[in-house]
Amino acid sequence: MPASEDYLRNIKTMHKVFCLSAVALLACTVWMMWADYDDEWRTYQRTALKHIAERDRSLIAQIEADPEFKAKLADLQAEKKAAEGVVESQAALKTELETAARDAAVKSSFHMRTLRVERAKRDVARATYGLGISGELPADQIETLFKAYQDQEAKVAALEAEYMQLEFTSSTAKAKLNELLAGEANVAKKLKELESEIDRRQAAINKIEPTDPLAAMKRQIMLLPIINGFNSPERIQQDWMPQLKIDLGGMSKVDRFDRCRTCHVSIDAVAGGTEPAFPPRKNPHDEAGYDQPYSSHPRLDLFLTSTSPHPLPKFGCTVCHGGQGSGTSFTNASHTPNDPHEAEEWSKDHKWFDNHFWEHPMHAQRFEESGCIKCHINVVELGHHPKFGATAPKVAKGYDLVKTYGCFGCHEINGYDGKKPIGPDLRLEPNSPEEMAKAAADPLTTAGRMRKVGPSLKHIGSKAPEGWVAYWTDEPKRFRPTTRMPQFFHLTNQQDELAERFNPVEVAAVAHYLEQKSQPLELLKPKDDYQPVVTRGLEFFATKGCASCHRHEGVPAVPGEQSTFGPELSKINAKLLPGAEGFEWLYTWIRDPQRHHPRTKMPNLYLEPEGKDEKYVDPAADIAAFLLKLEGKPADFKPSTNYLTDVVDPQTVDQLTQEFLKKLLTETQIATFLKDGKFPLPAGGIEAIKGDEIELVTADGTPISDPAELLRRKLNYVGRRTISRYGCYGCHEIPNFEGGRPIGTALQDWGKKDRSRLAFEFIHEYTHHSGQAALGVNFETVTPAIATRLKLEPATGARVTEQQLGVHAIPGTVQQLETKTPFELQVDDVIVVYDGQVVTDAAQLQGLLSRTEPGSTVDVQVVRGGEDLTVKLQPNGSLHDRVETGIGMAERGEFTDDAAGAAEEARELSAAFFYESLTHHGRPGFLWQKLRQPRSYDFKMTDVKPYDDRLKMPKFPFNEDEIEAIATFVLGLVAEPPSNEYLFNPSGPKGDWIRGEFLLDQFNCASCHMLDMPEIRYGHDKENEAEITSVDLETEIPNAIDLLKRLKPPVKADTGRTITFSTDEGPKTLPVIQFHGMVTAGPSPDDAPEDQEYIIESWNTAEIDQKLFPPTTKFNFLANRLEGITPARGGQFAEWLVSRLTESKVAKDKNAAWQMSPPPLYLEGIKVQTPWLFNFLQNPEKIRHTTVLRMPKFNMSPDEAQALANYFAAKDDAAYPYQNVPQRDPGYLKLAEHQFSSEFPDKDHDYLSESWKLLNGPVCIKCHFVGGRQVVSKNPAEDIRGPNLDAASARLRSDWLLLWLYRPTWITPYTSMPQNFPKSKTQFEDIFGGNANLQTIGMRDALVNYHRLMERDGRVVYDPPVAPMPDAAAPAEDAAAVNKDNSEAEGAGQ
Amino acid sequence: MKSQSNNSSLTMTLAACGLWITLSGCGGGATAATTVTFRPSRPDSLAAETVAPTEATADGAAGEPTTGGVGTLKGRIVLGGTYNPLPPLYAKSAAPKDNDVCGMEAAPNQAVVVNDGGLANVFIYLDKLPKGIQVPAAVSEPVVFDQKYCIFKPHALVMRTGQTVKVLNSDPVLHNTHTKPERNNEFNQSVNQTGAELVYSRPEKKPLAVVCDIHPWMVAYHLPLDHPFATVSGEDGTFEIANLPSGKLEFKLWHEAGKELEKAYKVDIKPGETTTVEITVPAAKLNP
Repeated sequence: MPASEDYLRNIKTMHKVFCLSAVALLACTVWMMWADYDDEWRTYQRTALKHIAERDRSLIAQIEADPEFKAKLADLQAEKKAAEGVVESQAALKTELETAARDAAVKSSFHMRTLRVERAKRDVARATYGLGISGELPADQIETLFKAYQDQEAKVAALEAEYMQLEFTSSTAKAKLNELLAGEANVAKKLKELESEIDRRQAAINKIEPTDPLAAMKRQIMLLPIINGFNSPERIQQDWMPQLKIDLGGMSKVDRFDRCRTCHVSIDAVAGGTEPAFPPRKNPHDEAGYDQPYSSHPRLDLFLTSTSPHPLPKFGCTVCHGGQGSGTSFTNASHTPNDPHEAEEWSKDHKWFDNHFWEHPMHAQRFEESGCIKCHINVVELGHHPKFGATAPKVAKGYDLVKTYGCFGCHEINGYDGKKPIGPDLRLEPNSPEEMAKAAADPLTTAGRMRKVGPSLKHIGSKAPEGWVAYWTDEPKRFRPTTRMPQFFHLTNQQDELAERFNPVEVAAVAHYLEQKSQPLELLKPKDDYQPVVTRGLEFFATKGCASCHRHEGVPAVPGEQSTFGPELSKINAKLLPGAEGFEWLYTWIRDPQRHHPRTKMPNLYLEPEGKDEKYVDPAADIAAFLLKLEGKPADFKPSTNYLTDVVDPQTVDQLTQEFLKKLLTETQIATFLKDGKFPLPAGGIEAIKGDEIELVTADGTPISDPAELLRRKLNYVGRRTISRYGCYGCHEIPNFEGGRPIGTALQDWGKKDRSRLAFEFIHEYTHHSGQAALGVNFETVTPAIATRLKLEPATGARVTEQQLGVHAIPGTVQQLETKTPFELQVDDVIVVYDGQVVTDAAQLQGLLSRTEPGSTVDVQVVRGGEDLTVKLQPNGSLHDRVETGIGMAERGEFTDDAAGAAEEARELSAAFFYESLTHHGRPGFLWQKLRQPRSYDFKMTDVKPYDDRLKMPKFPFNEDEIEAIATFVLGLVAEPPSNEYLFNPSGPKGDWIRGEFLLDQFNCASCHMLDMPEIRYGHDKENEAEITSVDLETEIPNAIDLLKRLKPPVKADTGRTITFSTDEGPKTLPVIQFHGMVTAGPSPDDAPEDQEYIIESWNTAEIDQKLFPPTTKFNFLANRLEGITPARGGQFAEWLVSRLTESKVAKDKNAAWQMSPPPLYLEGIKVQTPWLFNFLQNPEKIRHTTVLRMPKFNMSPDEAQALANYFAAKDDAAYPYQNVPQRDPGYLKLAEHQFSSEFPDKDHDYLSESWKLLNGPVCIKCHFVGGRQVVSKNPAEDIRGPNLDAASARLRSDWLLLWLYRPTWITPYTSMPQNFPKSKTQFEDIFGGNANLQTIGMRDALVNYHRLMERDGRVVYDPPVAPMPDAAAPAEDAAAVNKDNSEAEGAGQ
Repeated sequence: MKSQSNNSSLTMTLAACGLWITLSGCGGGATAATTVTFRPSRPDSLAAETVAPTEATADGAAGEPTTGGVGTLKGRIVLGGTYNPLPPLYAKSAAPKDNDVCGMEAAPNQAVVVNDGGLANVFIYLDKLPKGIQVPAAVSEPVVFDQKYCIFKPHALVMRTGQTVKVLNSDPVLHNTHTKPERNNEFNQSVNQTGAELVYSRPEKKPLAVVCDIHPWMVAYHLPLDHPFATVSGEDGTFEIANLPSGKLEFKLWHEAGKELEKAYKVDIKPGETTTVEITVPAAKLNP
């Protein structure tokens, strides 16, 4: 129809248009719905559900295949059949009963119907009557109504009675029937119970993959688009954490929604306890295990489960992992690949790209621990936790490195916003006691608590010559390869002419300044004519505890990193001033370290001189002599090396002065000063000069006319400026820098620092050509033919073939005595030794090069023209090349499958990750390169910036693993504290534990003391009774066992794991048990393999199969049954000392040696009273007489001592800070007295006197100072002497003391203290009737009331009569004379 | 009084012990006879305190190894090279501690005891039993270990696992008896005139030291074993082990100053015969 007046358009055409658009719209809607439906997550969820069903099915199959289950099932089925048979045989009766029951039920229900009608009628009658009353009807009418009601009620009552009867008949019939069927029902119930697990699993499977067609159809319908909006089996899983807000770039804070579980469906699935239901695949080649997103989270005891500290509903996912929680696709979730190789795979498989628009991308796996420190601001619990172990070791290691290397000296890490904690806190403590007091008084600040990590340089002049200071500063590692002091000079931005001219002057000026400003120190001296003995000094160095923190080439190294806590001392004799001065400085330092450095961590070891006349020994002087390799008198000491004080070029000094003054003065002013020594005073006069320029001004402002003085001043100025610029005072105490502020960037929020504020400069260009260990040349393996040509003997090494394209060969220096000549590798040079290793072929050299720490100097031996050259090189090749090679190899699968190959692959991919990050201006990459080659960001920048503005960050000796650990820590510093509920900064015992752990580390306590005993795990054979030589508990006093169970609660030894090992009769499987103990003997190479056994003495009370094994039980088992031994935490020095004392026969045996060494602090908290420990830590008095060394006095504040004392109690769950000693209470004593007098009515003294008498009997005095009497001994060196007993009452907790007296070895297995009152033995019958239990308790009560009894009863000597010697005329009464008077014995027992 | 009765029971025990040592010889050591003959012990042969022997020991056949007959090893340990007698640890009346008791006699240094060229206190024992040897049941009589004038007596002692060691103290001062075993639990009790009892439940691989911490010079050596094929050389270095299973046997020789003298000294024992050996130990091996 054409257009007309009625129609604007052709209506037919319009119909077509409408039709088409309707179809298009429909198609569009369908497409839209499909697109919405076809979400990525559905696939993952479907697969995950399939895995769940599969797992359930396999578990069902497992249950069904279990022979025990099978047997039970068969039994029950047989039982069922039998029960059915019984019923069948009485079919007639069954039918009869069924009929009866049915009939009765029908009758009763029929009757009920009538009853209900009549009840209703009765109710109507009652209501009508009621209405009559309220309507005040006449009495007669009410009477009628009442009558009607009564009639009806009677009718109902009759019917009710009838109904009761019918019901009874019915239930009786039913009961009879049930009785007949009871057997059947019972079996059915048991069957159901047996199969309940299967049914449960089947029900779960049915939900996912229903077998019932109807259910399956219903499920399919529920999954259809649109319908799936209503309770579909597949849906988005959402966790809502309103307390954990997300900061959207500072604009707004919104609630956190995590939808991660939409794809990671089984992330919190447990199999039983906290075992993962879907364990992750251990390595890519494994068949068992699951990949993400299908696997369960690791460590479900720690994460996600409701019993863990991080339950899923409370924490969600993204607060730890980062990422966009609301995202439901792989890319939207903001996953971050762990290395470029993974990135490549992701972009292939998931179209992954780096989403710049989400500010909190997920942490790459290598940094996943970064998130922990957001809440765990104390960090220490992440590295070591009594329950969970090391939960985040990498970030804890990073934190430790920052602490150890003193990064906070330049980079403040302020963990507080006022008083509010916002993250880990690492700041220098206030500089002086006054400032410390001021900070403590300020209510708005929290003072830093870190000490400077370097030694004080305030008195350097009395210690080392100026030449040495310059030599050291120039390159510390040259003097001491193990030093932690970083390298400031000879770095990548100091290779130009300017720096090469300036640097030596700067170094000399620093030394000059320190020397000039050094303050005198009053030194201690050994006795005038004392001749120290070097060999004795060595022995003292080993045994007095020096070796626990310091290493020395003359003494075998104590294993473990604790012994590198202090500097390595082998070359200390090359460092000190010559003559008596150097000797006396060292002597003073050893005897009283705080004299030189008030904040040193070096403790006072109480190395006081002892002995008289020929026996006079001064251990500190002997140790000093040993360290100085002294020959002759102290005054003859000659340092092994002489250092020349560098002569500086005055012109260069002037140029540097000018360079530094440029920003302050005009060129004319500078010129005038350099010429006349006249410094232009500012308006405020000399007082107005706050900076280093003060060195250039005389006190009265007059010009410096003496040129020598002027040079000295300028040198001081340059030195002081250099110290200021490099921030030396961040680690060292230096005169005039008391108020110095850290010079570096603060790091507390570096983890979220805007990337545009990082100065990458030309780093890409730099790393493309440099930045990686290589030599810039190509080389090949030397063949015999080449060897012949080059006259090389033998044919080994790698020959230089050509220069690498685009890479400069590394210039080096040839070391020829003191002169250094430049060197460059040429074709035909043969590298034969690289860093002390003989080079055999080119591939090996490649390997060595790739392992070289970037920027380090390596000794290389090169043969050139038949001549050997020792060359120093700083290998440096293209980082880009290394990364390309690494990724290529990973993609091609060229790394080997073994552990070494995996480690190499991880290292190369790690480098690739950081390189990629660096080139994409990422924070991790920046940090990585900054720590590897701190000055590389100055590449080409040195040409365009003033000398003074060059980068100054020194190079620390970190390897790439350490750098990654530090990066993990620093990237976690985001200063975004969650709400207080989440912040883990506990007070109470947990907080004290954390603070104590921090301090243990600060003072290196773990070097001497074992803090946790080794843990032994092995397959235990229950049948073999001889395997455990148990103590017969029947022979012990029951009280003692109860006390043991209370103080050292039995620990269940069963682990639930098993171990399989081979025996003569084939493989055998045993349950694994674990306990704490010491290995007393391990497998010996001399023994036959079948005799290789472990003998281990337990330290804890163990429970195996409900049987109690007290400490000191010995476990003997064959070596192949060992699952593992977790080494002790700490105590390496003690173990080392024990072996040394045993081998040198100073100690008779291992147990005796342990008594001479620092004791393990196992359960120290239940042992000592906290106030005593507090005092002891501050002023450690001598307790033991058997030890070869003493507990030193640490440089500890009262706060620190208190925290440490609390720590031990908190760790062992003991009461603190105050301890009650109930045995001193009048109530206790009254009761004890009452019992005593009623049991022993003949006694004319009281309970305590009886106990005091026993304590002063012929037992304790054999080894202990007691009751004013001293042990008589002519040979104190050999005698075992126990602690003086007067100290016990303040030192020991009374319960512990009692257990100790009951059985000392239960507490310390190696002790010499015997069990004095065993249950089986009756002795001292006149005291407490010879009752061993009463005697032990009495002994304890006398000890805790020691001072009261000493005052009240005084000196008592109890020597009971004993049997005379069988065949000698030894008069028994003489025994009394054994213990001599205190005054007589003075000196003998010392 | 009490002391009187103590004394008499002590004497009885000592006498009984002496008798028993002669019979069974297990006690060995420098102060005791060194013959080892494992005959069935008679229930009436000992004082009241001994436990009645088990059935196995009462049955004569069980007392001897069952396979291939038994033989005897007799021999002497001879010290090669010169020997200088060790001076006493202290002279009479010069004890470092408790002189009134310990100083009654000079304390001999028993680290190396040589008489007529024979080395005493050498433990001779089978470290590992040949396969298929049925070991006679444990001896139920206790072995006595005394301390007198602050010296352990005997100085060297072999016992069976499970056998009670009666620790006595004949001194009127307190001692503590402290064993330093490798495989057994340590025993450390103070011992007065009442005495004490100790039992080793596991065999040791080598002799263990027993010390008194109160008197640090006191030391003795014990060797608990789960078989009877062991002895200690006597004052003159002689020893004898009877009822040894026939065949090639490997003995371990251990001495406190020389530690392991022989790891596996091979002897061929023939049924019904006595094999006599003389073993020379170079003086240089002993390092007291």
